[in-house]
Formats: sequence, structure tokens, C-alpha cells
Amino acid sequence: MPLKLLLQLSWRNLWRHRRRNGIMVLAIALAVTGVMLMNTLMRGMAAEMREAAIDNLTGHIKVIHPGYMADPGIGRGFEPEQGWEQALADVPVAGWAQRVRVPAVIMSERETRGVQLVGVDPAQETISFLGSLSVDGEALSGAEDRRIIVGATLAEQLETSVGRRLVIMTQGADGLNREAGYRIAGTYDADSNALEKVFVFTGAQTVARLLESPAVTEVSLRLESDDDIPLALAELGAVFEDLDVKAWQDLEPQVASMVLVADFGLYIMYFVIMGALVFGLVNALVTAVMERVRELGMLRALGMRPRSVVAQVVVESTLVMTAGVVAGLALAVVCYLPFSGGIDLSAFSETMQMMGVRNIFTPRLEVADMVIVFVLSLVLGVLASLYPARRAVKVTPLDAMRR
Amino acid sequence: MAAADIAQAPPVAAPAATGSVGIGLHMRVAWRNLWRNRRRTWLTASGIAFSIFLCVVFMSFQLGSYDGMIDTATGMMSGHMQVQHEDYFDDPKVANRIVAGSELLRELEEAPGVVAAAPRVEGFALVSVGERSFGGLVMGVDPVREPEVSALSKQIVEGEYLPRTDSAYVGKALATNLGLKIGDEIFVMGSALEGGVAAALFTVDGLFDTGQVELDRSIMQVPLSAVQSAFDLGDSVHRIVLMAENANDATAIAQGLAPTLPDEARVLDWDKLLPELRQMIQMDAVSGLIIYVLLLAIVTLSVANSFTMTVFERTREFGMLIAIGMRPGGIVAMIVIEALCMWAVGTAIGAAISYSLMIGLGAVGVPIAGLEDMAGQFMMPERIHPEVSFFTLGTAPVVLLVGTLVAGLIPALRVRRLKPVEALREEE
Repeated sequence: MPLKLLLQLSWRNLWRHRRRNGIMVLAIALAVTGVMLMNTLMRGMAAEMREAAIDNLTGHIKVIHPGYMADPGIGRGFEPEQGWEQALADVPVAGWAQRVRVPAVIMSERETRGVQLVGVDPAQETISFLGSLSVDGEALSGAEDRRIIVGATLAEQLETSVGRRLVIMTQGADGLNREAGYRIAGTYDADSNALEKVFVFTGAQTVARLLESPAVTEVSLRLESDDDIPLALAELGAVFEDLDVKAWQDLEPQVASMVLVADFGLYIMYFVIMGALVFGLVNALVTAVMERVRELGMLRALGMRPRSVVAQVVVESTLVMTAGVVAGLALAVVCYLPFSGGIDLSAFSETMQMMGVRNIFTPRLEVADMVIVFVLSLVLGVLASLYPARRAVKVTPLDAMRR
Repeated sequence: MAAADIAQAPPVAAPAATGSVGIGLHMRVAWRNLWRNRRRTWLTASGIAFSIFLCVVFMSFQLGSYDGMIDTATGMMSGHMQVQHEDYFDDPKVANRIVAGSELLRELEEAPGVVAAAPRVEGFALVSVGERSFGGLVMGVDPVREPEVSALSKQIVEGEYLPRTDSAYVGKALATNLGLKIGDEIFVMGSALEGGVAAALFTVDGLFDTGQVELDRSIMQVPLSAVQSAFDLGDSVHRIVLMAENANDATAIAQGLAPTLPDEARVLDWDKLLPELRQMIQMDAVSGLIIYVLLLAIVTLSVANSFTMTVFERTREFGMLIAIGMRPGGIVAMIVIEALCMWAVGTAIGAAISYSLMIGLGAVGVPIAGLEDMAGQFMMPERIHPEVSFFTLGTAPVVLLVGTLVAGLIPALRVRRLKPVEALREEE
């Protein structure tokens, strides 16, 4: 039977029962919209956690000493060779930064706190949150800047302010304590108070002078795209042979597992909700077949092939499914657009900060996920029609005449 | 109304008497009608069973995991409630203290609803061994009372928990970094109450390992009195950690305690101590709610569809019933009872499977495998015990009962507009 005729027949059959098929389309649309909107939230959450993790001095890839994670300190530093970055000539790199990061104790006249002292070259830090910070006072001017910038929350806890001095105490490579006073150039406001309490920045050369060591503790690299990570890992591995070259997924396993959960979440939600829907769809299709026993018998008597009968049921099911999915996806897009700029979630701020997400939350509607939902639905539509189609084939002209 | 209608409806069984028999008859007719189309009934009932099963299982696990999360999170450090100086939570500095510590502790131990109480003083200090040093939080605790309010003492991997007045209980990560072993001396130096230098010498007698390196590296516990004297604190404390029988009672107990406290002190329940925990639970509950609403709405639609088809197919039958005197209201009632029976069949199946599964799993708990990373960060316990309660088991069936009744009623109401003559002419 020509496809066009088949489509025409199925189409007309569907319109014979508007109410019933309308309810099915509505149910499918509702399910698809719900699944897609939940998915945009999960995707948005995962993407923000990932962005925040990469921004928070991790980058896409980091080179560290193998012992640094267990025992952070300048004792686990290294000196990258000049021009190492040329090894990455064929990888699109957004930027890289060399840093000295060591645990330190910071003291004001009144209070003492534990922090991470980070020596940076501000010109390189466009790749981290440091590059886009709003600083009250002055930002660091260069790697040789001898002032520090501290988080606004930390400054409050230390009861100090811009222009005052703080004493920083940390260990040199020999394990002996070093101590020096620094003037506060500015205080910064980060998305998370936790960041503000932890990181104290100063020029890389200033830290080198304090520690009496030219070594750095990390080289952080930001790429243009996640897809280049394996290539960059391989090439950096060849340059930094004795060091650990790690991707952000290894450095932030909690965030990586959250991104994975978002990937699985789509399938779980889809199958849970569509599972409930399939019962209704099969029900409607079987009813449609049983109502048409006479008609189907007649068609068979006139010479319609069993194959065509099956095809007709499958096409009907697929048409209902397609209508529902298209309506559902369209509705999801309509619901999503007003929020695509971001949702203010300050009411949930503590959780958001804990999970590394900012107060303005941006949901993400991924085209790839819409395609997955569409394709899965077509497959499900065909699967749901198998049993009704079998019933339809079983109808013989004789059955039909007996009715 | 039912009895009167049925009395005039003869097709299935003759009413033996009026009154109570009416409903019985209605039920019987509806039940038989339901099984006239077995396939459809089974499909619709399976849909109901499926969604009840999913909702019950998800809700039990969700609520069960909250209780586990709350117990794990509060049991680690914070306890169910804390009494603190009113400014200490926002500004944890040494001076924000409760002066008459031991007196208040005695009162709180006697307070109604409080199962355990333990005092703490805290100060940030530089911890040095030889020439190496590290900044960390030095926590002065009562070695006897502390284990009743926090799990840290149970995470011991070596040595003993604070056996002497100069003992230190140190994280394994910190010990490794400083090259410490049991019996070594450590020197602690920080800012005392009036800006002076607080200094004290301790001997490492125990090592702990919580699995969270950051925590292990930044906290050490020593006896309360040693910190009080080093930081010039006298009898002052910073926190008195309280446990209730159950974390859910904390808010009510805290409200009861508030008026009895000295002026500068206030009581915080875990809700306020760990605001991110409550918010995380709320966010999770909202996303769960969306799934349940969707699931139940979709099943309700498919029940509605099933009854639309049923009513449509039986137009002739209904026309006949009306022609021989049955009131449309009686037919509506019959269809609604059919819907009710459909719900009963689906619920019986869904509930039987899900209830037995949840009651079984609720007793033994389910280990979370492969999610240890997440478990640490999101304060998850190692085993989830699904919550078995009227709420988790009953919500889905009750919501669907309403949904099914509405889904049956809407197509049924069309029967009232039925004209018997036209209906009878309808092709079978």
C-alpha cells in the first residue's frame, strides 16, 4: 500500500475519535513538557556547578605535584620550563595561569584565621573568577604587587579594612615558618562566602620572595571546549612527565558526578512518566482496533495485506505520539523562554552556594535533549502499537462477518 | 437517591429489598460492567497500579533519605540544637561567649526534652610541631559528654579519645602533613580573649579520619579546661550542643528553652545551624512533587480516556436503560462506581507490591553504592531506610481516588444529555 494512502487512512481514523485522541495528545504533551522543564533545571544546575568549579581556580586542566593534594605546600612545588605552552600549539587554549598556592595563617590585631595564600599574575587570571571579581579598593597591579586582596567576609571577620595591614604566616620549602606583613589593596565580593573566607591573593613574586622559592604549585589551563581535554591531557603529560596532569573531572569528582546524574536524570524521568502513559496509549489503540473489527475484516476480504493492517496501526500510534511530543516540546520552549535569562534564587542561597551555584540560576534547554526525547517517543510510539497491531492482524473476514 | 433509582433498574438482578441492598446492587452491576471489557480494565488498572507503585516507592525513599541526611548531618558536629552567645553564629570570635558556662550546662541537662548536652569552646590557632605549623580550629570539649552529641570521637583510627587533660585528638591528614604520630607534642598558639597570646602544649593521643580531608586537616579537639585557661576564658563556653530524642522535635524543644536562657544567650535548632540542609531538602521535595503531580495527572487522564471510550460504546445500552425508566442520575452513579472499582483493583495491585517492598526495605535499609562522593558532599547516610508512614503510603492512592472519580464523572455527565430515541438508533 502506498505510504500516502496509509497516512491518509490513519489520519482520518484518528479524527473519527477526536475526544479520545485529543486526551491522549494532551497527556503526552503534558508528560513531555514536564520532563523537559525538569531537565532544563537539572542541566542548568549541573552546568553552573561545572562552570563554578572550573572558575574557582581549577580550570579545565591542572598540573600539580603528585603529593600536593595530600600535603599542600611549597614543598610540593615545581618549576615549569620556559616555553612549555608551545607544546599546546594545536589545542585551542583560552588561557593559562601559573600560581603558588599554600595554606597560611592570617592575623589582624584582633583575630586569626586559616586561609589559602595564592600568588598570581593578574594578567593571566582572566581564566578564573579572579579575572571578573568586583574589588572594593584596588585590584592587584601585577605579579610583583606586594599588597594583598582578601574576601569581604574575611575582612569583616578579621575586623580590618582596605589600607590596613595583616600578618601572614606560612611554611617555606624547608618546613620553617615565614612571616610577613602586607597592606590590603582591596576586598573582593565573590559569589560564595566560602570563597571569600578561603582565598587571599597577592603577586606571584611576592609569595616567591616570602617562601624563598621560585617554584609554583600549580599550572591551570582553560580550554575553548571540553572536547579538547583528552588531547590537551596527552600533550601536557608529555611535557610535565613527573607531575600529575588532571582534568577537572578528577579534581572535582563531586561536580563531575552531579553532571553525570543530570545525564541519567533525563532518561529516568522520561521512562517513569512515559511508562505510566503507555498504558493509556495501548488502551486507546486497542479500543480503536476492536471498534473497527468489521471494517478491518472487510478490508482484509477486499485484499488488504496483513502487513498494511499492521502498518496502519503503527502509523496511527506514531501520529498520536508525534502530535503529543511536538506540542509538548513547543510548550516546553514557550515555558522556558521567559526564564532563559535566569531565575533569581536568593531564597535558596545557602544551598546554592554549597553546591557551587550562583544566586541567579539559569535553566538550560538543550537541543540535544529535545532530540533524544523526540526519538525516544517515536520508538515508544511504535512499541506501544505492537500489541494492538497484533490484535488487528488476528481479525479475519469471518470474524468480521459474524459481528 | 441510589435506592430509588435502582429499584427501577431491572436488567441485572431483582432487588430483594430496598435500602441497604441498593448500594450492593449498584456495586454488583458496576463490577460486572467493569469486566465486560477485561482488556481495557486490566490496562487502565495496571496504569493506576504502576503509578501508585512509583509514587509510593519514590516518596518512601525521598522522605527516608531526609531523615537519614538530617541524622548524619546533625550527628557529625552540630547536634540537634545549640545554645550560643547571640552574636556567635554570625561572628564566631572568642569574645562572643556565654560567661557562666557550667551553670547553664547543668540547667540545660535537666531541661525537658534534652537527652544530652556538651559544652565547647573554640578558637582559631596555629598548630606547630617543631618548625612545621598549620592553622586550624582548636575545639575544647568535654571528653565524657562530647561523644554523646557528635560522631567525631567514633571516627578514631589510632590511639585513644582524650584520655588526659593535655591530650589532643587530631585529624589523620593533619598528622601526616605535620609528620605527627601518637605521643608527639604539639604547640598551639592563638589570640586570647583580650588580644593577648593564647598558648598551650598538648600530646597527641588519638587520630581520627572522617573521610573529608578538609575537615581532618582543619579541626583538632582537646579537653575543655585546657582551652578555657589558654584563651583566658575562665568558665565561659562558646556552644552548648544539645541532642533531643528525635531531630524533628528540636524546633519545639528550642522554643521551650528560649525563655529560660540568660540574656546574652540564644538557642538555635538544626534548621538554623545548618540552613543549607533544610533548603536542600526543600528543593529536593519540590522537584519530587513535580514528578508526582505529573505522574498522577497523566494516569488520571488515561483513566478519563478509558471512561470516555466506555461511555461512548455503551450509548445504546444507556438509551435503553433510560427508555425503560432508569434516571440519568442512576447511570452517572453506576459509572462513578465503576470508576471506583477500577481504582480499587489498580490500587490493590499497586499497593500490595509497593507496600510489601517498602515495609521490607524500610526494616533493613538500602545501601547507596557508587555514590560515596556525593554522599560526602550532600550529607547522605550510608544506608537509606525508606520511610513507611500514612503519608508516604497513603498519598498516591488518595490522590488517585479523587482523580479517578473526576475522570469517571466527567464523561458520565454526558449521559444526562442523552436522548433515548437517538441513542437506541445508534449503531452497535
